Amino acid sequence: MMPERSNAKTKTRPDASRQRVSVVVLLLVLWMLVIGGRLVYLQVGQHDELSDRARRQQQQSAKTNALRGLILDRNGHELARSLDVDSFVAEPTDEKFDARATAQKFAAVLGVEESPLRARLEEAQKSKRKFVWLARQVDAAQAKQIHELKLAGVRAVKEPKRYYPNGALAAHVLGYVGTDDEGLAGVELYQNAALGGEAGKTVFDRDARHKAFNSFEVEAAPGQSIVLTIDQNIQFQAERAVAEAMELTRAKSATALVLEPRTGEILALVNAPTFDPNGARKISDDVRKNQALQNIYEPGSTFKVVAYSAAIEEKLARPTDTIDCQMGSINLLGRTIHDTHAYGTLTVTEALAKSSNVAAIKLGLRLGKERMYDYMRRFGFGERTGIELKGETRGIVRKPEQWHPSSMGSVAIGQEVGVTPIQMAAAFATIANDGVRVAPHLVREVRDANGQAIQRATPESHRVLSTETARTMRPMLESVTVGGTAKLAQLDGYSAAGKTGTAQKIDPKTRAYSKTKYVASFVGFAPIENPAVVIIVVLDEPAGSYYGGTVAAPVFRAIAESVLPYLDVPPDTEFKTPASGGDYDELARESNADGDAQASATHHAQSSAPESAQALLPQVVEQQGASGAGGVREVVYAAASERALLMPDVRGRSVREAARVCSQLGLELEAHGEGRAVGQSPAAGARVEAGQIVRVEFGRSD
Amino acid sequence: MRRFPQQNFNHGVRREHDTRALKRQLVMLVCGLALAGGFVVAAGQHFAAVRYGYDGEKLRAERVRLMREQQQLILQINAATAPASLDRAAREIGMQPARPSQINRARVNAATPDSDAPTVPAATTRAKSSRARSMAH
Repeated sequence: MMPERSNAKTKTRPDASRQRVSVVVLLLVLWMLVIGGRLVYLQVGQHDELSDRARRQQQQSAKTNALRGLILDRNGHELARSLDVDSFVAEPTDEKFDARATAQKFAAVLGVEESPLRARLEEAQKSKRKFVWLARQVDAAQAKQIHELKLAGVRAVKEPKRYYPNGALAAHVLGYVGTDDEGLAGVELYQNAALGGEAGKTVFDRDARHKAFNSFEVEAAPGQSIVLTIDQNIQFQAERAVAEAMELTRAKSATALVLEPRTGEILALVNAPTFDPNGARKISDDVRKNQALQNIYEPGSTFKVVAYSAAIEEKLARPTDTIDCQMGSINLLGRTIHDTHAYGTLTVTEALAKSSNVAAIKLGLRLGKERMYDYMRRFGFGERTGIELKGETRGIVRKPEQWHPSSMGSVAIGQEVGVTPIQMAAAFATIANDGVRVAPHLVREVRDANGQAIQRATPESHRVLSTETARTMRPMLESVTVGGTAKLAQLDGYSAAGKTGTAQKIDPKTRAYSKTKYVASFVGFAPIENPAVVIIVVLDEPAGSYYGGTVAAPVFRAIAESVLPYLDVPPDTEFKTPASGGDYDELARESNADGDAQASATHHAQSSAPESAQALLPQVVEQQGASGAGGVREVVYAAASERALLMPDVRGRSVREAARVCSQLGLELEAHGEGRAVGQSPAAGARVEAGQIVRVEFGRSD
Repeated sequence: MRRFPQQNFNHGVRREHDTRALKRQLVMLVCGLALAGGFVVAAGQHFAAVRYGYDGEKLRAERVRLMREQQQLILQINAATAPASLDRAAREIGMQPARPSQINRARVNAATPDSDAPTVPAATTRAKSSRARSMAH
């Protein structure tokens, strides 16, 4: 049996486990002290250096591009938008980089020459450059192809690229941007600060394979959006009318403006020739120039409105007063000024309608140069309108003390003064707006990134004429279109008023008025009672006929007839019979007898009359009233099929003209021969359907 | 020299259990386990965080890609609904801009703006052999 241990009287031995624990704890403490000491050394003593090293090794930061703000039309349609697209850079110092293969493959995808690219890359490789641009702002499809190539030493970086989805529409208004997304012209330049946002930053934590696993982002602040007064549909209609006029008149350039007289808002601003801002850098400066604000021209007869309205305002003349036009000539201090036709005694209204120079000069003389000058300035001539575009010119208006003794003989009829189309449009808008001039402007409001308006247009306005004078002038100007020099400006269903202008240009060689170079213009408004739009059309150096009433008035008509229904303006006159083009022929013949029309008027009137007027026109119903003013506006199209069309008479037209006519009607032209059309099938007046092939024989008369 | 017998018959010896030492060992074991558990949990959380980081980055990149694609599509819509495109499309299907005389202006009762049958005043009613409209918006 074992003795009872519990009963053993033994002295307690030292506790071995306690000692062992003490040793372990001591070692642990020492270890912790060492570790702690090391940590203190690394985290305090070496903090900055190690932090930097860690950041360099683990973190990467990337700039986040701030997308440029939108440019919108008055109805919220986007006219300009920025997107992030790929740009490609080569890193020649990369060991795997192959300059030859890279150049070859890039050239194939981008459609550029291989050798210059290769030379550039090899040069960069030799000089050990770290970074070479290969291609900037590449389109999505090409970028995808390049990514699929998986080229060593080539990487993509995102860059914003500006897109204009309407192409050339309103190019001179919008302007364009450079490669670095900086505005270089138009609204892009003028509103560059507002449109450009603030770039952001994204910081990535990367693993050993340089793969991001964590990020911190400082968001980019996108630019503000600019809402323009432009309406893209009106702009399109105006551009089409101007393009057709350019083709018909072969003018050097053309300008058109559509202005809302009550608000001063510019609904359309057209310059031709134009350009596509998506590729504006390849376009010449002449084309990029905004003629509507930069082109100073002698306005000619359109300027007579100043003398007439000032004389009426000053109670120096009344519309029914008679004025002796002295059979078409007046002598002013030895200088004789002629009318185009010899007129005897006319009423003031008739004199304006016939565009008598003598009458205008006589009214100017009644006013005197001081008052004449005062009214010119009150109408805004000789001053910038303040439109939100850079490069606007003041025009040329000399002070009375600088006038020659016979200057009234020039100024009253629109010579010795230089105006811009926008100044002239604003002057007519004053009459259309009961004598109050509202500064024309292009920017309606500025919105922040959330779409909230932060700035609204507050155009300057002042009274130029009394309401009574303005309302007296309107029927006088209507007489110009009814029985005067601008019968081709008569509208279908709407009353219209305006004034033609045909001004000789100064020949830079002789420094005298050219006998071959003219500026033809028409500026008017419609309807008469409650004008909704003011439209100016200026054609520079039209070939052939050069009279404003012949070449510019039809463009006014084309624009007004498409714009007024679109703006829900109720018709205020009878519609003309749309079944034939006879009325145009008649008007053109009548215009021949007037001062502002010439021999080619008939041909031009035939050419410019919408061929749809020669067709049987189906009716469409446009709902009005429910949407009301400010509602969604529509462009109405009518079917041109199912006996809707009668074959127009294209005989005598060139191939190009015939093709245009057929294109407008949706007909397919089968042209045979060259020269002018001598025969056609189907015959004129036969029923045709859209899409039908029409055969036209062309031949030369000799 | 042999100090011990080859066989010890001490299986009957009962050792004294030191409960204090046992407690200390238990405490150390628990602490050790807790520490190890903490490390395991921390490691798990770290790896989860890394995994979530990768997932987050994937989602962020996807979001950026989708936003760019959305903007590209908006651009395509804008180009497709541009007046020039609509005009071209309308002409291709045999339509042309209506002249003012073609348009009958029908004032619709404001109370029923969605009515499909606008009230056309008799005086302005014209033949409606063919109707079409193309919305520009």
